[in-house]
Amino acid sequence: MNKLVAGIAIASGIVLGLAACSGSDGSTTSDPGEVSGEITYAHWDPNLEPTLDAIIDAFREEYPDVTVTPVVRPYAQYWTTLQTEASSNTLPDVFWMDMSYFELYAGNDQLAPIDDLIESGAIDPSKYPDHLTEFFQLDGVQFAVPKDVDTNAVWINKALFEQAGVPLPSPDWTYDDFRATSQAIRDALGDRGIYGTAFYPYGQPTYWSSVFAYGGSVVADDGTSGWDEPGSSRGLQVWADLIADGSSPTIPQLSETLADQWFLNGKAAMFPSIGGASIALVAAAPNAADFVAVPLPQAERKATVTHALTNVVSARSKNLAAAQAFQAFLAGEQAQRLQAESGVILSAYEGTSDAFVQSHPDLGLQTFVDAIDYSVPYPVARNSHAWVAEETVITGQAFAGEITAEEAARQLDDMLNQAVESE
Amino acid sequence: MSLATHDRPPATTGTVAGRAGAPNPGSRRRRSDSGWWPLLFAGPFFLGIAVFYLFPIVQTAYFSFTDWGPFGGVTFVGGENWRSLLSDDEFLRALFNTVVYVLVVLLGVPIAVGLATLLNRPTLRGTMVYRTMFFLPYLAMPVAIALVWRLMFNGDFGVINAFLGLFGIDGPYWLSTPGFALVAVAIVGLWMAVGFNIIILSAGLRSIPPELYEAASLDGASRWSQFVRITVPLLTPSIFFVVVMNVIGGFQLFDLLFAILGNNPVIADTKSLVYLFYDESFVLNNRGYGAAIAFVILLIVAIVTAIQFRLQRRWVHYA
Repeated sequence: MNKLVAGIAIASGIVLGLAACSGSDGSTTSDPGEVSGEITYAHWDPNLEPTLDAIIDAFREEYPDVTVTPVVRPYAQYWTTLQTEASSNTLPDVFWMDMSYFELYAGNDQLAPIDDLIESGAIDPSKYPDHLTEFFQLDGVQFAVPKDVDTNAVWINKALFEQAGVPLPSPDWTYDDFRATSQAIRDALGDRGIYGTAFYPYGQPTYWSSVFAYGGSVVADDGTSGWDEPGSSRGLQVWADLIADGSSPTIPQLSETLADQWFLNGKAAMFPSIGGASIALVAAAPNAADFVAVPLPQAERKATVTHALTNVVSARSKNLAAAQAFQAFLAGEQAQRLQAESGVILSAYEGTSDAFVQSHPDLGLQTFVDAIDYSVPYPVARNSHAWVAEETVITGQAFAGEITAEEAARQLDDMLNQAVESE
Repeated sequence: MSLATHDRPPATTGTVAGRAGAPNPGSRRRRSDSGWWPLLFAGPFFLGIAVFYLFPIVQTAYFSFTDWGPFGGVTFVGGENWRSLLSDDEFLRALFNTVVYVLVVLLGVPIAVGLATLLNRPTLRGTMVYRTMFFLPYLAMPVAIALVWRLMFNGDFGVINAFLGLFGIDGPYWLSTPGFALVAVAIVGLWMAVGFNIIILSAGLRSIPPELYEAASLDGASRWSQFVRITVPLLTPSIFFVVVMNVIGGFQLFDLLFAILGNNPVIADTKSLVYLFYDESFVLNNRGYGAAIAFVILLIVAIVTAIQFRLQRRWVHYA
């Protein structure tokens, strides 16, 4: 017992010592003792709340005079609220930013650059994947470093596979195998109302990855639409086929009961999804022991879309010093490790992936880490937020069988090119 | 309205009489005093109206001629928003949807008249219990109501389709089939409004003199003809009020629609005028265009209400 207490004392002494070091030589402005006041921190993930509280506690050990108030908002209203706040100069001091909105905010002087933080060593960009860090640069100015790396996988329900007598997918399975597996499960268990697959009819969780796997693209390298490439419509066809086969619920069914609900309640055996959006849901399910993540199928190549969120500071923050100190702390190893250990999402910081994988040892989280090797950047064109919403209306018609995948790709091509031009 | 005009003449004559009866030469000053006092008392109210209603209306009218940058910054663009509004299919669609919604909700008025009459029967026991039951939906949060109804309407696992299934009816996907989705939302809106309507109509029923019913039954009038010949005509002022309120409320449809269909792809076909306003102003950030839509909503509600007030002379009987 005494040993334990001593161990904790030593360990916390080391942590505190480290923290003190990184604070003294790392902070932008000056001594942590001189930074004080209140800041707000807006995000949308209730699953991360306990983790963020722990991170804020750790931050306050270093900066005792700063109070951080976390504000969690529903994702559905996050961006409308943020834009309204930006219009009235009342943005939160620190907030989450994604890749599709980054350019809008950075390009309109809403974000504080972090070049000073990098210069002073408070943030070390070499600790994050280069291609993601570069994304948060605009005209040579760095505004943030990635806080996480998100990739996709297919969740499978092992118990349903066993009941259907269907072998678990091999790591290098193809989209044809995927379709056949889905059908085999539907054939075996359909009389119990169980489907092979349930999916979100959206790009990032579902069809962008299959578009990439068939060699297509959403946004081509020159910033115009990539939907005219032949692989793009093949990638859409995958999901239209599943619905046409009857091995997936229809679009109305998937609209009224979401894919995660079908999967978590044992009504669908496979569920492709984004790691950060699904791990917490899957891990919290009563029958989580049945679930495991397997790699996405491949076609002409193996591919998943990848995305990173980031913490940014409002350019008009009333307490810029405290906000940037917190931003730097969030980007540091300690905070990144706490986030990885929560198992909600893979942290971007070098060397934290083991902590993430070990957070839920039986869920196969290594799949999300391995997927980084075959990941394709999140498609971004100007005005992204506007065309993504229109995209799902057109793809929805293709999945429902109202138009062919080729016709959908043609419409998407026109729509995206117009959206890019209009900005 | 005409009740008010009936009230006014005696009051005016009173003032005129008072003035005429005042012999002293200071009457002119007294008159200007009595002109200012009421204004002073009404001042706080008019100030509130001016700051929170009139000024925003004027501002909205101005903004409808402007274009907004992504984070504010207004540029004057003349009639551009209004031109695109008139040729916008989405706007016409939203107008159509809103009118359909209002019409379905208005079906609740005859239902409420029937229920209020039943609840007002002197022999009925537990009137308060029924009244509370019918009024509760009006008090509950629309979002909470929406979530529960969304579960009930669910095509695969909802209680409504399970119930229809008992009779061998294969229920539709209420919330994801374009036509059905709007009707489903309107049914919820109707259900919420019925409680409010019943309370208003009950008050109206109580003001009908019981002697009329006594006389009618002595003359041998059946219950039904008493209802049609006495209750309904004498209830028309309350019915008129309820219809006006329901129409205004219906044109403002947003929260129910947002909470029931907000994340369903069917919303693309099912937007109401206010939903379209929200979508354009806050999701797509076309605030100038949004202002034009908001102004049109105001105009439509004002015109429809004005028409109702004109038409009431033909069918509303004030006792």
